Amino acid sequence: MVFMKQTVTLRDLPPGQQARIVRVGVNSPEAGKAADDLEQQLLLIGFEEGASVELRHQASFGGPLAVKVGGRLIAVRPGDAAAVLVDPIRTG
Amino acid sequence: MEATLRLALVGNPNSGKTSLFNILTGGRQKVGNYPGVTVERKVGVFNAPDGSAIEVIDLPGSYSTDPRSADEKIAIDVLTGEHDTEKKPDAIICVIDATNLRQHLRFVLELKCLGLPLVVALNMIDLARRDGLVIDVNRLEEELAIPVIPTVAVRKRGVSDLVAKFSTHGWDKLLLRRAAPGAELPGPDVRSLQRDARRIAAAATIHEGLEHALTRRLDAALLHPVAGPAALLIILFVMFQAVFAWAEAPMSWIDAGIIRLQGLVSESVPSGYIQSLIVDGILAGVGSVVIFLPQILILFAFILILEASGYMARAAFLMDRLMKVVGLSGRAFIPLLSSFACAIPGIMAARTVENSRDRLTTILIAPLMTCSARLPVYTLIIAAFIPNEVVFLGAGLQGTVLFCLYLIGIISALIVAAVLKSTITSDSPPRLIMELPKYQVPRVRDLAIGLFARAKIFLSRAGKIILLAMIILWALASFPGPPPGASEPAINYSFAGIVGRGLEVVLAPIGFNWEISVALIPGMAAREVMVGALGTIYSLGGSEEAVASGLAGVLQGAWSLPTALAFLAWYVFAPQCLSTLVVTKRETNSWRWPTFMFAYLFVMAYGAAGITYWIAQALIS
Repeated sequence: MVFMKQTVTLRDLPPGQQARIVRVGVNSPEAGKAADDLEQQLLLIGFEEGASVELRHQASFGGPLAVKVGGRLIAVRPGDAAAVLVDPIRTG
Repeated sequence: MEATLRLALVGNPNSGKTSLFNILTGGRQKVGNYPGVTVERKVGVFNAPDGSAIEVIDLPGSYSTDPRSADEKIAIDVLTGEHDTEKKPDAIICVIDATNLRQHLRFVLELKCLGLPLVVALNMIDLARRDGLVIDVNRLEEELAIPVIPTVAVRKRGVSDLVAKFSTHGWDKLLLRRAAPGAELPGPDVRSLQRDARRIAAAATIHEGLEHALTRRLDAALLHPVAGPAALLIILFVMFQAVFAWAEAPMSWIDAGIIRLQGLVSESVPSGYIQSLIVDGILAGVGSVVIFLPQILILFAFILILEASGYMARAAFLMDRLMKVVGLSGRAFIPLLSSFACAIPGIMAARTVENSRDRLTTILIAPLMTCSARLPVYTLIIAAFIPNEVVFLGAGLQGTVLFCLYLIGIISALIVAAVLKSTITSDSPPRLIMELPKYQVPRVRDLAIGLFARAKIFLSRAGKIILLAMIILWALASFPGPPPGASEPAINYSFAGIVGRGLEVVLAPIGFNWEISVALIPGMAAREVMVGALGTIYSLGGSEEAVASGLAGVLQGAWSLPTALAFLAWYVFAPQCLSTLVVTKRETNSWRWPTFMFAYLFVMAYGAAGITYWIAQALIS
C-alpha cells in the first residue's frame, strides 16, 4: 500500500490507525476564548504535541470518540477532536 | 489526641488516591454529612511511628492547579489557603499512577510551584510491574528533587514507608527538601510543564510497559456501539432487580425483630401514653425506615462497585450522545446516577460538571432520579398492591414495576433538562473531555469502608431526624384525645386529623385520603419518613391488627388501587425533601433555584398523580 503522509484532524482518523499529534488547538485569530479554553482542556487531559494517538472506539449515532493517547484512554466529542491535528504513522 | 500535622492528599482522578486514603486511615475517618461517592469532604487520622497523630484530608481529584470545575476549585483553594473553612495543610502528598507517569508528573511539577512541602506517592507500582513497566525510583526522586515513595494502595506495602516520612524526625528532613524559595510564583505554561514531565518520565523509566490487555478486551465489548449500550441497560436492570430480590431475606428478619420488640414492650410496659409512644410512635415509625437498610446498602454497593471498577466513566461515554440531545454532556450522567442513591451527593457531584449552566441544569433535574429514600415508599406500595408474579425471563412483576418507576423518572429528567436548556439555562453545547480509567477489581476494603460510612449516616438519620419526626407526629396524632363516647378512631379527632382534612381538600382530586395528606408533612424531613408516618398514623388509627399484619396489609385494606398508583406516580416527582432544597441553595447560592425546583416538582407530582388516578379510575369502573 502506498501511504501518503497527510495531516488530518483527530476526528477524521480511521479507527486503529496510529498517528502522532502535530498540533493541539486552532491557531486562528478569530477563534477566541472558547477555542483557547478547549486547547487548555485538551492539553491538561494529556493531548500533547508529539504524543502518539489511536482512535479506539466511537459511540453510535455520532457519539464521543475514545482515543488512546500517551497510554491512556480519553473520551472526546468529534467536534472537539477536530481541534487536534495528527499525522498518521505508517505501519506494517 | 490533637493532630500535630495536617496533610492533604491530592492527585489526578483515577490515581488510586481514595484507596490510599482508606489504607492510611483505616476506619479512622470522617466522611462529610452526606452519603455519596465523588465530592465529599473526607478527613482521617493516622499515627506516625513516633506516635504523633497526623490528620489527612482527601481532596477532590484534580488535573491542574488552575481549576476548571467547582470541584477542582475546592482542592486548589484548600492548598492555597483560600478555602473558607478548611485550613491550609502543612504538606501535600501527591498520589500518582505509576502506569501513567508522564501525565501525572505534570501535575506534580505544578504542585511544586505552590511552595508547600511535597511528597510523591508512586501508587499502583504493582500494576506497573505486572504490565512490565520498570521505574527507577531513585532517579525519579533526583529529577523531581522531592521524596518519592512507591506504594500499593491495596496492601500495607509502601504505606508504612510513607507513614515513616511523617514522624517528627522525617518531617524535619522533609522541610529541608522543600521547594526553593520564591517558587510560589505562577507556574510555567502547560506545554513547558508537559515537556519537563516527559523528560523526567523518560529518564526514570527503565522499561516501558505494555497496555493493560484486560482493559482492551473488556472495552472491545463494553464500548462497542451496539453491545455497549445493551450491556449498560442490563447492568442497570440487574442492579434494580437485585435491590428487590437480595434484600428480601434480611428485610424480613428486621421486620420480625421489630414485631418481637413491640410485643415485648406491650407486655412489660403498662398500656397508656408511654406504651403507645414506644410501640406506635418510635418502634412503628423508626422500624419502618430501618427495615430498608438492606436495600439501600445493595444500591450503594452497586454504585460503589461501578465507580471503583472504572465502569462509571464508560457509562458516561455511552450516555453522552443521549445527554447531548437534551443539551448536557455524558459527564452529567455520573452525578445523576449518584442521585439514585441520594440527590444530595448527586447535586454535590455536579461540581464536576465544568460549565455553570450545565451544572445548574444537572442540579435541577437530580431530584428526578429516584433516590434510595423513595425506595421504602415504592417497595411498600408495590408489595401491597402489585402481585408477586413472574412475567418474563424470570423477572418478577414487582421488580419490573420498580424498574418502570425509575425509567419514568429518567425520561422526565431528560424532558425537563431539554426544556431548561432551551429556555433558562441555554448556552453553547458542553464538552465531554474525560479519562476512561483502566478497569480494576474493586477493593473489598474500599467497599466495606464506603458501605459502613453510608450505613452509619442512614442509621443516624433514622436515630435523629426520623425519631424526632416520629415523636412529633405521634403527639400530633394522639392529642387531643377523642371525646367520651366517640365512635370514630381516636386519630380522627387529633391535630393530625384536622391538618390532614385541611390538606385533603387540595389532594382529594388526585385520590389522596387524609392519612396520606398528613404523612406528606413529616415526609418533608426526609422522603422515607413518609413510610414511618403512615406506620404511625395507621397503627394509631387502627388496632393491634395494624401491628400484626404489617403496614402493607393495612394499606391493602385502606387504599384503592387507583390511589396506590397515584401515590407511586406522586413519588416519582415527590418535591418534599428539605435537605435537597437546602443543598441546592448552598450549591447555587440563592433561594431562587430551590424555590423553582420545589415549584416545578410539585406541579409535576400533582399532575402525574392526578392523571394516573383518573385513568386508573376510568379503567376500573
